[in-house]
Amino acid sequence: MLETLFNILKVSVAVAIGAVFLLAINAIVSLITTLIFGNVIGEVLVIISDCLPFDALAVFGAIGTAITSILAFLVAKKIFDLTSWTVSSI
Amino acid sequence: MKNKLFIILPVLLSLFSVSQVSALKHEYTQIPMYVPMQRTGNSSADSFEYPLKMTWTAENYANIDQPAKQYRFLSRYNSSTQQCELLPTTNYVSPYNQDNSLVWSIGNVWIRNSSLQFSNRQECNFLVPFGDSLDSTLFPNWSSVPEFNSLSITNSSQVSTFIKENLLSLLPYSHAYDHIPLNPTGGDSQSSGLKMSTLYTDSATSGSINYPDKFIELIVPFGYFDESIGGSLTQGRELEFTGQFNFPTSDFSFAPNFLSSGTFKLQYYYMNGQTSTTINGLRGNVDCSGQLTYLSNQSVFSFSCPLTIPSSSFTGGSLYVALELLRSSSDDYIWDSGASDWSLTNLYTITDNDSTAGRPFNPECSGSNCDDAPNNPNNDNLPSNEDWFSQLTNLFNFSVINPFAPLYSMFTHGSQCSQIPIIAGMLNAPDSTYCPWFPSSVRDILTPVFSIASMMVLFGFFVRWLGSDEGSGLIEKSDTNIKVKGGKK
Repeated sequence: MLETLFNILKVSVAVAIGAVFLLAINAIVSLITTLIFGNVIGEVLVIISDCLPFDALAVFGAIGTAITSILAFLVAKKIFDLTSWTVSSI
Repeated sequence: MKNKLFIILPVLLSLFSVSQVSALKHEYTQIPMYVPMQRTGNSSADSFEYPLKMTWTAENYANIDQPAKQYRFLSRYNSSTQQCELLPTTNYVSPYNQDNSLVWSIGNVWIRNSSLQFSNRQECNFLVPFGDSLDSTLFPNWSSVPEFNSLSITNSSQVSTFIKENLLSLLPYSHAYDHIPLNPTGGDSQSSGLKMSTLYTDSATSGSINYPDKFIELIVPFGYFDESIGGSLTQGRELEFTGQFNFPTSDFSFAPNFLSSGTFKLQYYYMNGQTSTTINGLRGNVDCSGQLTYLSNQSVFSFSCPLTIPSSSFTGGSLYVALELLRSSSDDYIWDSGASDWSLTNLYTITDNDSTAGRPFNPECSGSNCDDAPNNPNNDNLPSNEDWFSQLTNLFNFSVINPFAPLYSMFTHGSQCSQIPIIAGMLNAPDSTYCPWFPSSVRDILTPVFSIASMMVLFGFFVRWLGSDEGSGLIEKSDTNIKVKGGKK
């Protein structure tokens, strides 16, 4: 019972840390993209997007969200693994 | 492999997160143009139309005051005659048409974005061949102004003059006034728009203005808005047109009289631009409310016109609206006093009170049973669609940083034109906008399709990698041992 509670607590902490990383990654990406694309490069991309039959900005945004989520998941999983016991059987 | 993934993913993330550039996108700007028509004879108030209609974007407008720069709002150049021409066609092209073609139809000409560059051509005739094509059955009381039947312009400076004097003087939009002040004068028989004078005169009352039908003092075209607002013009959709006039205090002598005694209506009509060459005849008007405010150096008249789409036939076309000021004929003198320096501000404010937007999200209120929800006692207890939609969106509506914002941007109406200030500055067109080539109906469908497909591919590879031997699978296998993670020792 105690072990189950401990695991639940551990998962909760991992999820919370993952969420924090999600926000942090998102903020960093926002900063990077602002620096990189907040100029003529961004405007060129906007023009390119307007030439396509779909909103490329929205599509890339969705891809970025997916990658951010994956990164956050990996971080959370790494933390979970680091705090787990490993049993090896020969 | 895991370490590589930690490197690759951020790089991809940086490259692909162009969505943050969305801050560069601004509101859609479009300027409808109206060429005045001379009205002949007296008729009822519901018969006026706009015989010639031109639209272009702020990009074109930004060049108006600079003749040396490019004018790019005519669309066809006749190489055989080496002339710029507005060619009459029989097909009306809706706002969805992006082929940059100039279109002439019954009473309407749409000039889409740009393919000609006036200033670089020394010989370029600007022909406005309307008049012959006017359908007398649709416009029984109108004839074209003779001066516009065939106008020949031979150099760019004349183009500039023509635009400024004959077209831009009719602009009703505030940003136009920032650059080109209008000086409306009373008694002008061939002006419309903000010239604030009558559209016609009665020859029988020479020297004075006659208002036999006491209407049409100001025409404020809003242009089509199905690209500006988005969505379909479904029956019952509620829109509200608001705006205001600004005029100097020197005009107090007549303005309060006019504005307080006049009534205001929003005239609208519908065009099925995609399939028909005629005006469908779905037209009418709604009453507007107005309020006059006195300030120190000017007065402001604010108006509001609620419009509910009256017919389910408003689909696939465009809705045109114009503000009419109705006034009494006893106020004729007011225009003779010289209404000067009138301007319009915020005249393109359209509030979409669309209560149908959230309907698909309300399981208890689907289909047509919600169309008459306000009047149906059986639906009184249902949450409004707007509330329902708001509750759903508020789930992830973080105030600071919303990592899920790109997911929502997939489903937003993305047809608005984008401002490109840096590139526009390089091209000496600071107010330029760039509009999507494809219609919003196509983009609105393909955007979530590609977005979701891309995310599925990414997550698919990730899950596959998780379960692979290389990945940090939940269960890692090898020939010699089995590691169980999360187990006890």
